[in-house]
Amino acid sequence: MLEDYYLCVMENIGNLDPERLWSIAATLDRLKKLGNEAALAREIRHLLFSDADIQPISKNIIRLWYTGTWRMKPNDSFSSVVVSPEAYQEGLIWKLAHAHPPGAKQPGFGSWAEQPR
Amino acid sequence: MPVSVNEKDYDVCIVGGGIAGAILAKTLVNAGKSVIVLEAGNGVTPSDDVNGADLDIQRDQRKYQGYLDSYYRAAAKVPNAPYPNLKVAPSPDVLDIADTPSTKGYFVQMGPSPFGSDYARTPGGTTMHWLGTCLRMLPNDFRMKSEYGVAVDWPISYEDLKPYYEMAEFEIGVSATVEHLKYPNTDKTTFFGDYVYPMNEIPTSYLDKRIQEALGSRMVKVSDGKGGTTDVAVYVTPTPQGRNSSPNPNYKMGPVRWDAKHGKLKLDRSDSRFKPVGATWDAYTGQRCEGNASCVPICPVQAKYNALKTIRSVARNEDGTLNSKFTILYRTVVSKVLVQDKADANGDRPVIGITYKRYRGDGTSEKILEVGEYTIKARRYVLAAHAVENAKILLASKIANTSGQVGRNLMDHVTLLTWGLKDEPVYPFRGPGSTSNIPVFRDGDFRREHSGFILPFDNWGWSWPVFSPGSDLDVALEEQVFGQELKSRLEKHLTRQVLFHCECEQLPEQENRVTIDDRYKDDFGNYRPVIHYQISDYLKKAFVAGKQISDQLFEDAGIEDRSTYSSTDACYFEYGKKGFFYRGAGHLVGTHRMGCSPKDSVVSKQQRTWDHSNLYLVGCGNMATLGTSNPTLTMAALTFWAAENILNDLKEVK
Amino acid sequence: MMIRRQLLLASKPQISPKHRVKDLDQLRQLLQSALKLELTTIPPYLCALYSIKEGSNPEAVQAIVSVAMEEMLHMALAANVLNAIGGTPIVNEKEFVPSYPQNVKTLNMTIPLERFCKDSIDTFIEIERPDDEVHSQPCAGCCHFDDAKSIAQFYDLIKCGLTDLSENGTKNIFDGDPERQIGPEQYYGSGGVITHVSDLTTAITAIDEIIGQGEGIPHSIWAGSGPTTGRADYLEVAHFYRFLEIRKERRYSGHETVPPANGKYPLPTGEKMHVSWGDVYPMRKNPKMADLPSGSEVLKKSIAFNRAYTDLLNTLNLAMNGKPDLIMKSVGIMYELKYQAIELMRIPMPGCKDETVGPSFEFLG
Repeated sequence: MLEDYYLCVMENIGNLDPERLWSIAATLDRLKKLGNEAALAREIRHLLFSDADIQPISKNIIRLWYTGTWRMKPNDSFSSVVVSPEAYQEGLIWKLAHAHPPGAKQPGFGSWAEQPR
Repeated sequence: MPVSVNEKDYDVCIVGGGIAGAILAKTLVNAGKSVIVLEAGNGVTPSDDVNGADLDIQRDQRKYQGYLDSYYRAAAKVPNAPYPNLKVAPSPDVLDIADTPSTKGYFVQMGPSPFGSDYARTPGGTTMHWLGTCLRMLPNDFRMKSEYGVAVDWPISYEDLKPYYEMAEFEIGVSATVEHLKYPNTDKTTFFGDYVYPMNEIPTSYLDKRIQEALGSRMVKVSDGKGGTTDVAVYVTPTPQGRNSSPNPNYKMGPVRWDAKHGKLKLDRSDSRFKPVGATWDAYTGQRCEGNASCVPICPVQAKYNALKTIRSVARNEDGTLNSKFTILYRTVVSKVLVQDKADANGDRPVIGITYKRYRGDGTSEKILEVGEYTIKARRYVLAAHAVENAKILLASKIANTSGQVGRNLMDHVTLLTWGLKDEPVYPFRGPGSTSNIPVFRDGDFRREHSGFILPFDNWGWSWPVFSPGSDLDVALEEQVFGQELKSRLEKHLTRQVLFHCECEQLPEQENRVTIDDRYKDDFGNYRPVIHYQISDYLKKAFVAGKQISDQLFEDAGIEDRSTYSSTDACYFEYGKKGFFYRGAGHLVGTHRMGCSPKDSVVSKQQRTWDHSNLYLVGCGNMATLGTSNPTLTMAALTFWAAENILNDLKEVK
Repeated sequence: MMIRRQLLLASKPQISPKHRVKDLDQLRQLLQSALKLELTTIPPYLCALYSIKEGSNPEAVQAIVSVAMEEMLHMALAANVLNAIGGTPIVNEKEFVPSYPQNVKTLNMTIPLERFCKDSIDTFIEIERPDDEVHSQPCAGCCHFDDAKSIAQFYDLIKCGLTDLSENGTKNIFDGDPERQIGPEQYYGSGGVITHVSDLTTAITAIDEIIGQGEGIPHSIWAGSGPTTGRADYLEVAHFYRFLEIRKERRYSGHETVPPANGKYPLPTGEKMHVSWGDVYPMRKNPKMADLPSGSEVLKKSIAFNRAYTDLLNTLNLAMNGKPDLIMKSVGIMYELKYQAIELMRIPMPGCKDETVGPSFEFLG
C-alpha cells in the first residue's frame, strides 16, 4: 500500500525535484513537533496549497489517501486514475461516510437497515 | 470469405445470451427441445465451446474476479466499467454521451437530444449490471390508449401476463413481502391473489425509514388530467428485488414445467423451501445480499440475479453432466437473418438461416482475429439480442418490417434526479441501490397530461448526479480544506446525502428510433446503431411536476435541496422557465413492438413476427409501452409466454 | 469435523450401560462441550483464511470458507439441541472461550492460530481426518468431551444420551422453548441444513448433520454423487481431501481408489495444482495483545479487534438464548472482524521485520 502510494507520487511529480517535497515535509514535521497548530496550518496553506507546482501534488496526495486516485490533469476530473484496487478499498472517505468501499468490505445482510455500528 | 454451414440439427436458434435468450433456452431445453444460443460476448472458456456454458468453475470465478478487478480500477464506476468493450461487438457507454450530432463511442447520436442509456454485450447481457428492481407493470399500463387517450394499448392485459410474471419471479428469485406492497389504482386481490414471493422482502434501508418517518402522511397536488389539480396522499412502499433474501416458507412453487397435453407452461407446486441461487462458481456464495452497495455495475457475490445463473442451470443436468440439448457459442456475432426470396402461398417468407461471424481471443485487441463466417439453420429462430441490437439485425437483413415500425418507438425512463442534504445523518452509500419507492405517481388521470413516474429513494448518496463522494473531496480541496476540518466536513456531508429520482414514462414516438447507415459500421463490419431521439413536452411536464413534488417532500422531510442542472450538460433542457438535465435509466424498450395488426406492429401478441412465420423476437423491444416499472421483469414474463408459444408452434414439427 | 460415517451408520452406537449419560444435566454439559469444540476450530480457520492475500489461492480460500461456515452451522445445531432439551447455551464466558494454542484432548492435538502455511494445512487435515479408529469404551462417568477418545465417540455419547433419556422418544425431554431455535431464516451459506429440533428424530438429524451424515460420503473423496466424467470441478471434493490436495499441491484425478484396505487415505495423483504459499501475510503464530507495546496504535487496533470478537460472542450468546434474529447482527460483526483481522495481518509486528501482527482472538469479558 505505502509502496503503491510512494511510487505513484514519484512517477507523477514530473520535473519537480523530490528534494523539495522532502524539505517541505521536514519543515512541517518540525512545526508539528513544536505543537503550534495555527502556525502549522498557516505553513501547510503556504507551502502545500499556494505554490503552483506543489499544489496539484498536495491535492493528489490527499486524493490518494481518501479515494485511492490520482488526477493526471489538474483541472480535469475525468483524468483520474485508480492507483490500485487496494488503494481504492482502503480509501479513508468510506470510513468518514460510515460506509465501505462499494464492491468491497461488505457489511452483511440487512446491515443497511440499521444505523452503522 | 467462404460461408460454412453449420449442419447440426437444432429445434431453435437463439441470438443473444442475456436474460431473454437464457430463459427461453432453459424453458425450451427443459421441454426436450434442442437449442443453440449465439452470443457475441467473450465466454469463460478460452478454448472453443461447442457444448456447455461457463462450466469450468475455477475459470468462471477467475473471469468474474477479473470483472471485479476492472471495476476497482475504474476511476468512473459507470455501468459498463467492469465489462470488456469489444471491438467486434461494441457496447454503448454513458461516458460517451455528448452534444448531438455525435459519433463518439458505439452509438451514432443524431439528436436533437442525446439518448442517455447503455447496455452490455457480454455473456449474461445487461443483467450483469442491472439494479435488480423487479416491479410488475400496473394493469392500466397495458391500456394507455383506452384509459388515458395516449400511446397504444397492448394486445395483452395484466391478467394475461400474470402467470408468466410468477414464472419470471421464480427464475430470477424475487424478494418482496406482498402485505407491504401498495400501488395506485390496483386491486390487490386481483393483482396478487394469494401469491407470495419466493423470498422475503429485502430489508429497507435506514435512510428509507428516516425519510418515511419524516414524511408522515403528506398530500400533494397533481394534475387531474382536465386542466385542474387534485390532491393525492403520498405513501412509500418497499421495492421487490431480484436479489437473495431469506426464503419465504409459504412459497410453494417451482420449477416451470411444460405441460404438452394442455400446451401450457406451469409453475409446479413444490413442497420444498425455495433455494436461493448463489454464485455460478459456488452455490453457497451469495445466498443473501451482503450489502456490497455496488449492484450497478457488479454484485461481487452474485446475490443479485444475472443471466449467467440461468445459463449455468440449463447447461448442466442435475447430476452434473452436460446437457446435450443445449449449446452456446460465444464470440459469435450475428450480422444477418436470411429469408426465403419469394413468398409462399400464404404470403409467408420464412427464415432460412442466420449468418454470423466468429472471432478468437478476447475481442478487445486492435487486431481482430476472425475465425470465419457461417450460416446456421434451425426449425425456429429467435432474436434475443437486445431491443437495439434486434432492430439493427432486422434492418440490416431488410426483414420483418412491413409495418415500417422496426427501430421506431425507442423508449427509456427519462429520469429526473433531485438531491439534497438531510438535517440529520441518514448514512447513505450502504445496501442495495434502492429499497423503497413512492409509487403514487405511477398511475392516475394526470397521465393524460404528462408521464407517470415512479419515485425511488436512492441509497448511494449523490453518486449518480455528481459522482460523490469523489466530487465532495474535490470541492473541499478546491477550497483548500485539509486535516481535521476536511474530515469533519466530509463526514457531515456524506452521511446526509439524499437522492430521489423520478423515472418518467416515455411514450412510443415514431421519430425516436434506431436506424442504420452504411457510413457507420463497427470494426467487425456490422452496423452501428444510428439514433434519433427527442424529449417530448409530455415528459417535460412530468419533470416540472416531479420537481415540484420533490421540493414539497424535501421540505417536509428536512432535506435542503441541492439539485443544480448545468446548462452545459448534454442532456439539459428548459421547460416552463425551468432548466433540468435528464438521465437515461438503461430501460431500452419498444423497437419492435407487439400489436394487434401487421400494419402498425412488428410482432403479434404471440411474439412472432407478422412477416416470417418461423421468426420470433423476444426482449424489451416487444413492449408496446414502457409503464413506470423497470422493464426486465415484464420482459422475462413475456419471454416465458413466448417460449410457450414456440413450444406449441413446434408441436406441429415432427 | 468429519466423522467416518460407516461407524455411525452401520450399527447403533455401542456404549456400555455404565458409561451412558445419566441425566439431562450431563447431556446438557456434553452439548455445551460440543459448542466449545466447534468454536475452537473456527479462529484457526479464520486466521489462515485472512492471511491469504486478496485474489491468491482461490481453492484454499474456498475450502477454508466452506469448512468455517460448516463449523458455524455445527455450533448453531448444537445450540438447537441444547435449547430443545431446556439447556442454556453459553458462549461468552471466560472459561468457555478458547485460548490459543488450545489443547483439544478429543482430537489429541494442540491447535494454534497461524497463517496459511503447510503447518496450518496439516492441522486442518488432522481436524478433518475421517475418524477411523474403532473407538474404545469411554471412561466411567464420562460427560466431558475432554474425556472422550474421539469426536465420533463424543457425539455417540450425545446420541445415546438423547435416545436413552427420552426412552427412545417416548418420554418428552424436548420441552425447550421453540422460539429459541435457530432456523433457516437465520442460518445460510453452507452445504449443511439447519434443523429445528423439537423431538428425538430432529435431534438425531441435527447431530447427524454435525458428524457428517447429512452431507456426502465422508469415506469417499467425492462429496457429491461421485465423479461422472473423470475429474469434474463441479463436484465438491470433501474437505479432508481438499486440504490434502492443497498440501500436496496436486489434484485428485477422480480415479484414486477409496478407501484403501489398510486405513490409509489415498494421496492425490492428478494434475499439479498451484499453491502460492508466499502470497500470505506472515502473521505471528499465536499472537497476544501482550506482545504489543503499551499505548501503541497497533495495540489499540488489536484491542478493537478483540472487542469486536467479544461483542460477537455476546451477540451469539443472546441469539442462542431466545433472540435468534440477532444472528443477522452477528453476521455483520463477523464481516467487521474480518476487515479488522486483515488490517492486523498487514501491520508489521513492532520490532520484528518478518512478521505481522495478526488477530489474537482474546475474549475481553
